[in-house]
Amino acid sequence: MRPLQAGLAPALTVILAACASAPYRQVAIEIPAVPPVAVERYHEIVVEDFQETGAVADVSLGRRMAEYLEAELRREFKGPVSRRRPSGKPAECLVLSGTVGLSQWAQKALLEAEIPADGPFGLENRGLAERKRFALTLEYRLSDAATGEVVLAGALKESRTYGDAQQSVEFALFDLLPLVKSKLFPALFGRAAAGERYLLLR
Amino acid sequence: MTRKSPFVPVLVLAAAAWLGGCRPTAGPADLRLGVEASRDGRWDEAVDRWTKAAASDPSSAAAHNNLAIAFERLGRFEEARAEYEAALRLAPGNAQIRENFRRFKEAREAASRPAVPDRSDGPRGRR
Repeated sequence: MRPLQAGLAPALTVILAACASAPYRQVAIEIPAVPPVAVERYHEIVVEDFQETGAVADVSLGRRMAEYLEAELRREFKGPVSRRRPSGKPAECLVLSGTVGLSQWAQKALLEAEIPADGPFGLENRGLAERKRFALTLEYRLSDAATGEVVLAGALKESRTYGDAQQSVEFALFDLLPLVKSKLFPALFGRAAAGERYLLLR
Repeated sequence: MTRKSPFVPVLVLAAAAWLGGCRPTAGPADLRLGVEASRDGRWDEAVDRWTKAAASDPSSAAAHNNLAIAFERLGRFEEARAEYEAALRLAPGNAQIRENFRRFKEAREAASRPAVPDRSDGPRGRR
């Protein structure tokens, strides 16, 4: 091979590599949230006991919901979060209130190959499975303490099913309250989103 | 007579191609420094760099496109929209800018939708 030809190959490789590189770069960015309510304008949030739409044995659901939300709001909100309205001038204060309800019921189904069953009907490899389902419903209002105007309102429902038919309300709340928070807080504070964009390099 | 090396013209050709625009980060220094700043998460500095790049070369669609991304990252959405529109006016056929703007509009639309989809009477907010 002649020297000129021998040198041409690597040089062309360099040129092609340089020219083939894309004039852009894909970048992942986190796009900040814009809260539906201008929460930053307020200095304090008061969480009132939620009214219960139905009595739940052994649990003060309205208070439990308020205590949970108060604790979680403290982590998220930059100002004070309390359970009582401030005495005197309630300027720049938001009040979170609403209603809450918890329903529970048993679900039964005849399932195959799940429960070995003995009985007169010859249901080999079939059996009656029982599960317990809980549904938590919340209607919330966020209002301006000074004017009483409702600045945000909504409703949500979360449910969980347990294989243990004797599952307790306490246990279900342990699962359901964080689910409520995961829907409620984006509504209050907005939610960040991930995205990809192309930066142009030339 | 001295014989010239056959590699010389080839190397000159390669160097010319490299310097002539085939470099991945060729272009004004501020444009490149903005990219480096954004890569390190220094988006405020990236805004400064790309603002300078756009000022020194108002026809640079890249500077406006990148500025738009930085503004979007910083939550300055109105400024981001203006920069995307400026970039598209300068380079209406650029596929990357068009895609960026499409994604931007899609993200803004998604952000304006109710955050709680469970019920039709989901949050009704007021800013």
